[in-house]
Amino acid sequence: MAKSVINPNKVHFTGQNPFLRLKQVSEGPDTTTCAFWRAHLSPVGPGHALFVRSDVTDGEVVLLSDNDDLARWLQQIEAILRPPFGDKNLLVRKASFSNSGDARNIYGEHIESAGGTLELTWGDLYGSFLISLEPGNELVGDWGVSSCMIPARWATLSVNGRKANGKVFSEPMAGQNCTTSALAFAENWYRAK
Amino acid sequence: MSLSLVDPNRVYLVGENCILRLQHEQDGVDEATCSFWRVLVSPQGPGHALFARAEILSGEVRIYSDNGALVRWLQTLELLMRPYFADKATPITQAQFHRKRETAQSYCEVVISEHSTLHLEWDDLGAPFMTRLEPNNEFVGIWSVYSCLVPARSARFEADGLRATGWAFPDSVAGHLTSTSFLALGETWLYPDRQQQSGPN
Repeated sequence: MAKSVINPNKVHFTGQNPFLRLKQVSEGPDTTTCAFWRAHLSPVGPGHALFVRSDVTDGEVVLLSDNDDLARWLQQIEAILRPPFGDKNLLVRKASFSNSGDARNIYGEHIESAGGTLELTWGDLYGSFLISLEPGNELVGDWGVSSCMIPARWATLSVNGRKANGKVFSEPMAGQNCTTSALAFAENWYRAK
Repeated sequence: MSLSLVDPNRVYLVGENCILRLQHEQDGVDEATCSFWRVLVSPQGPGHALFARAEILSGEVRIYSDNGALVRWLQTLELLMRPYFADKATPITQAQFHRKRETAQSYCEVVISEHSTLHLEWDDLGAPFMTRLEPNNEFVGIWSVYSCLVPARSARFEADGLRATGWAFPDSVAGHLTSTSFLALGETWLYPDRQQQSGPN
């Protein structure tokens, strides 16, 4: 009989980290990069953060959050995954967050701030899979992470109604069929105690 | 160098399944049992469900939800863990669900239906830890479950101002200290690929 296994590491974060990347051509650079975080648990409490750089932000990195401490704490992870988002000199702009949709088809995040409205939409979602990475790996170093990935065949970012250029491309993840834009639900980050 | 691992099984459910059980004494019977589900992904879509049984609910099983089809699907899982919640003849009360986080040490779910308001509260939260139930386990059979558990040293369940009697008591999971009342966040349920055609849709 199989058993219940306790992960020996210390859990630091539980939540979501969907990403949305658009490009003009398959092997080209990102013309839009978004990292969205919804934290249910973290050392600095729950909250949301969006890191975005896009043609519709004129190439500027924008950081929006309803919990400044969370945004700063997440930057240690962003510094590994997406270094431009790890810059501690970035201004954290106050925002409110809400979501809508159904992860079987179309899912959206809606962000309101003094600078206007951002809409992130993931569509034609398919083929969810669970991936886990143990601490001591080449991607996120001494962090371990488990996450349920739900790839999107298309995705859009709009800022005050202006839609970002580019589109989603296929990009395998650990041998799985995935794309440059995916939901990442039930995500847990942990490290050795 | 560690490698990434893709679980070979198929994802059926992503969400939360927080448990609130109150007893009068260690290892006693449950005076109140609540199984709260917040679902992001399932074969029946997203939604919420509360399965509850307590004296303050006349000792009967009550089910509250905003997605009736989800409830009926979740009953295939409840059947494995808490069979008394799996009776498909139990009526479903339409309700709205709200999460409240007032402090880092406290977590609350509020369930509002036409005729009642329920509060589930987990307090004095302990350190979160990750568990994985491998397929063919004694708890949920062929299912595999990944979950982040957060034990609560105290918990309360109220219905329309009436408070259920009993307390949360220490419990253990695979030798790890937890409680009879705990949050289960970041939870994923998987079912073997090879059985997809006859899987629990």
